[in-house]
Amino acid sequence: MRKMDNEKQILERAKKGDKDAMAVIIEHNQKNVFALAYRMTGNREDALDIAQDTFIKAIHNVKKFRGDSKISTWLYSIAANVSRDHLRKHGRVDFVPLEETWIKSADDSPFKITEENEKRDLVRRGISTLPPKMREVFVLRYEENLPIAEIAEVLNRSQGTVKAQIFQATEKIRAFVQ
Amino acid sequence: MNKDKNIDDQIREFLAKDPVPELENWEVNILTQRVLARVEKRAPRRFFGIRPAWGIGVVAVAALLLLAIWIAPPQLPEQALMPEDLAVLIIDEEPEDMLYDAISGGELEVETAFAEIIDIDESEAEKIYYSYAEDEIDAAINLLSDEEVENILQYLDEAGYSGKEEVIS
Repeated sequence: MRKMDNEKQILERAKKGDKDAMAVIIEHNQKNVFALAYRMTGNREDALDIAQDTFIKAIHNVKKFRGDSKISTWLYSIAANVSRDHLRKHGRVDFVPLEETWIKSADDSPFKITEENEKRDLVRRGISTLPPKMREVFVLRYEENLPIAEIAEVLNRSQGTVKAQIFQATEKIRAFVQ
Repeated sequence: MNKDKNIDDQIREFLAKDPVPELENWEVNILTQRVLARVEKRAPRRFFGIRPAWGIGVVAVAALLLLAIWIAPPQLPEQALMPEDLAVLIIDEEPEDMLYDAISGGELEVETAFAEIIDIDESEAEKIYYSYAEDEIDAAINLLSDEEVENILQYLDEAGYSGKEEVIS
């Protein structure tokens, strides 16, 4: 992976149409964009498509991006929008069945392993039942570990709204887990 | 409070045990190449200066529009807002560009554009929205009438869209 020494310089180069700079932006942000899309859809192929669309839209609009926020924040914002569009069109979140992703640990008892797997599956199912706007807040908070202020910036919502949505989402997940 | 903390920790713990699949290097390379190839394929969206062929196109469309206006009987206002009557090409590309950027940049949702700004009923808006593939949003925007573009500009202005000054000035 190429180095991204100075975000502002890379951005300026990308704005001038420098393909290397665009490639650097993609390479450095693909993991986060893919992760958000994957948690939103639960499907690897869909997440890859969303990541691709996100970067295409970003590159098309790079000249309009003023660089007030971090590139990653801007890309999260586009990815959340593309994911929401995708869910609207397809209206589903896919799940890999529990047995295919079974956690195995030699240290734990079979009972404990079963219990852990069931809880993990419940968390995943809980996430899938969240409405898209609440799910993206939840994923950005718990998966990407973004601070409230940055989530608010990414999703163009107030911090109060974000906090309320995190609370509601956590309550729903809690209801699933307990 | 402790209970909340526990749930918080539990959620993080379970998510950590259920990691997002890693992309292989070759997948990242393909993703990068595809994106750059799509960017290359897409023509510049400016009519003037960059691609003279667009200028000729605009003049031709303007001439056809003038002819159509001269020939066609005046429409009732209700009819002008119907989806099937949206096929009036706009000559000034700037509002179209701005709308495209607002939607693709995540600042404006397509349904909002159709349902609230264009002021057609929700079922029609949904029908139109789902009839367009995501990549064709700009094509859909091309079908807006001048009046609808005016409404959009006003909406974006009221909504405080950050790019409006560049376009309106």
